[in-house]
Amino acid sequence: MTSHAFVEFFNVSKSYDGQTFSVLDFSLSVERGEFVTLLGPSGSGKTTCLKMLAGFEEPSSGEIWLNSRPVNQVKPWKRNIGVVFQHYALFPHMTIGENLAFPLQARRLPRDDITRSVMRALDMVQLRDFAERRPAQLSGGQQQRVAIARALVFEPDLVLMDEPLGALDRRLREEMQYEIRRLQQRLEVTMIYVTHDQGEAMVLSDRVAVMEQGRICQVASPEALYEEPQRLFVANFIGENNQVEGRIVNHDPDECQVEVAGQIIRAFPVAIDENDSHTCLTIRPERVALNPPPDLYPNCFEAEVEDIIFMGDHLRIHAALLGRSQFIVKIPNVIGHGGILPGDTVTLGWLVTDCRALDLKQASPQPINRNTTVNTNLGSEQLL
Amino acid sequence: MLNKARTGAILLALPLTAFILVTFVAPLGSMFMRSLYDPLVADIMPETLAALEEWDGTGLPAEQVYALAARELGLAREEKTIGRLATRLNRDTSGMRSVIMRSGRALKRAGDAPWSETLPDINPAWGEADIWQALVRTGARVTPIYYLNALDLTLDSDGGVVRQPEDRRIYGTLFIKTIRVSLVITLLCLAIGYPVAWLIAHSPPRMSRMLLVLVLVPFWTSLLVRTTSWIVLLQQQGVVNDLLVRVGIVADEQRLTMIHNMTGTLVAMTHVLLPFMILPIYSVMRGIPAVQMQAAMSLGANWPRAFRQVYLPQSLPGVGAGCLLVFILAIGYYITPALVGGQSGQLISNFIAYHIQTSLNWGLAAALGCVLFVAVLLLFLLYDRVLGLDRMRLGA
Repeated sequence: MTSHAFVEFFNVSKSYDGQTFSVLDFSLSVERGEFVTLLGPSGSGKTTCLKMLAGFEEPSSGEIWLNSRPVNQVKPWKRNIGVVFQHYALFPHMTIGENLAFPLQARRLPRDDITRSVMRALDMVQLRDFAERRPAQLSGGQQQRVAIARALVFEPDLVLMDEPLGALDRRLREEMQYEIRRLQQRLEVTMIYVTHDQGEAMVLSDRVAVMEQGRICQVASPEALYEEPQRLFVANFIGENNQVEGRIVNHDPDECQVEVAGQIIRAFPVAIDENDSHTCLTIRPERVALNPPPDLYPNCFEAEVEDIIFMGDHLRIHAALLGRSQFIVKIPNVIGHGGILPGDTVTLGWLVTDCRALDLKQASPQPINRNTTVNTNLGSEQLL
Repeated sequence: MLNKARTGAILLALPLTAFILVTFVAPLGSMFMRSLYDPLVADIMPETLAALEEWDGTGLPAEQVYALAARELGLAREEKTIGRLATRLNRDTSGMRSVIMRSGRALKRAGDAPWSETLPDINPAWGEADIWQALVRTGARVTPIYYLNALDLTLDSDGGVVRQPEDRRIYGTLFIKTIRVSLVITLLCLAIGYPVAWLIAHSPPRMSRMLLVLVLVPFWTSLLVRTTSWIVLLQQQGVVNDLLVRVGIVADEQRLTMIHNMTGTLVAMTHVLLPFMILPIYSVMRGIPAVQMQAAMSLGANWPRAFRQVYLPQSLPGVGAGCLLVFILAIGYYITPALVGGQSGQLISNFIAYHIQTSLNWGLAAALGCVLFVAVLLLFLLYDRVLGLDRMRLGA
């Protein structure tokens, strides 16, 4: 361990009862100035990681290093970490100004400096006129901005955010996402952000760590997570995917052949076992071509259209393919797409690299359903 | 529709309203009346009192007054109301009981010579102005005397308000003692109850439920049992003294007196009233999210500072409610001091009970009760002024 990243988790585990683990063998490095998101369904241990880093919980095993020194034994008030909580945790008996002054008074700064810093922080979140109000007199979005200002006002080295936008409505949430990103880049502060909303993670993060049942599945940039999921859980959690289960009949480093319902699909091997074992193929709905010119795609199969759903900027086609129904295809709403009706027989085609063969064993028992509309938009954004 | 709903609401509240009127407002009103209105003497000796209006208040009244007094005393003896008359007059001027009772008995045998001579013959007291002044004083139907007595004041022979002689001033000090003891009990309850409430509010659910049951168990035990168990524990040959002697902290011949005095009252009442402190504080604490302390600590405040500036202020509404509850209960508490208070541990309510049950001076008992009521009301208003009743909460 010669040179350390700014924040480092070394094989951290946390168990409250000694039997089940909330966090298991968690390792992660975060560089100074980086924005890293812990993404996962509820109960995946992401908030526990945050609490251990903030010092509210102690790891059962493993070490956490902050700024090149271990902090397992350091009290929360000596860590100099700003935390934004899910329900803001503003102090209801203090005014907004007093809330912001609290961390500065705790650091025994001179009164003039405190006043100046508080006003600057209020300006930063455009709430200068609210200093004398109490938190209960502010709207949810305003309270959230105060909570963020309070976590930044004492210029911490690191800011943690625990689902800070969870209680806001969608429009406000999107607005705040950009505001958080803008602040983080302007102040060049290191940020670790927890959310179960993959859209949020995509917009904000330099890197995303996808967590499942206390472990990290994959840590990568948003693009890499979407385009190159290493595990089925990630493929399902980020964006939308068609899953096709099949048996591996042959595999090379660059390509494998998988038998599904008596036909062979050519796929890109990511995490597969020996021949004859089962695998799960994932294909993004927007990477499926409808009635492609012949010989353009190595995978081409006949399918029957079950349903067509108009989504505005794109169409969603549900088709029966290879003996399974509800195979989803997204086609952009451009000139000349029309003419397909439910019951028609069509050809669907896709590339080998867009069809990733992942390990069945890593499938999450309950994939979380996502808002498909948001996913689609984000998906195409990331692709551009 | 609205009218129907309103009628329904009134009908629903009717039984309670009736109950409160009969069991609460009516007795309270009657007691309040008694503290001011005392028609006893006026009812027994109406004519004597009417005749005494002519009297100048010094010297002796006319023969006619003596005659009326003798007749009405005789009537009172026949109707067996003379005992109450004697008690009432005795309360005004001590020694009057025997004067009246003896006169009543003697009048039966006396002839009807001029009463202004016969009565002083029966008892020389009738030859003094004092007894007539006492009759005039006690003859007023509406009287401030009970309130004056409750405040250690009395009327002198000219009708002026003066302080009681030193040896009869008991209630002023008693009121102050009662308020002081109640404050001490409230503070003891707070000192013991706040940490317990904290523990219950912040333990894991199972533990917290168990602790809560432990707090509530005393409610299922008779107050009498709880109070008498303190006698078992604290008496001179009791468990605590035995333990102290066994360990050698206290010598056997110097066992501590911890019961039947003020210590006993303080200990037992603190125990009895503790749940009333713990429960409101607990329910307010439960409404304070755990992240509040975490937020304060992450912002750089160490535990004591975070507690002082963030947790404590948010728990104050519960503290206020608990203190008010305990204080008001303590100031009127009767049974525990009566059982374990001995001589020195008696509070104002014990004297009220004494006047109701033993001395049968209901007027004074009522006046003491009303003074207590007003004192509590004033403290309540003071509390509202200083801390604000609207900030008080019994739950989150």
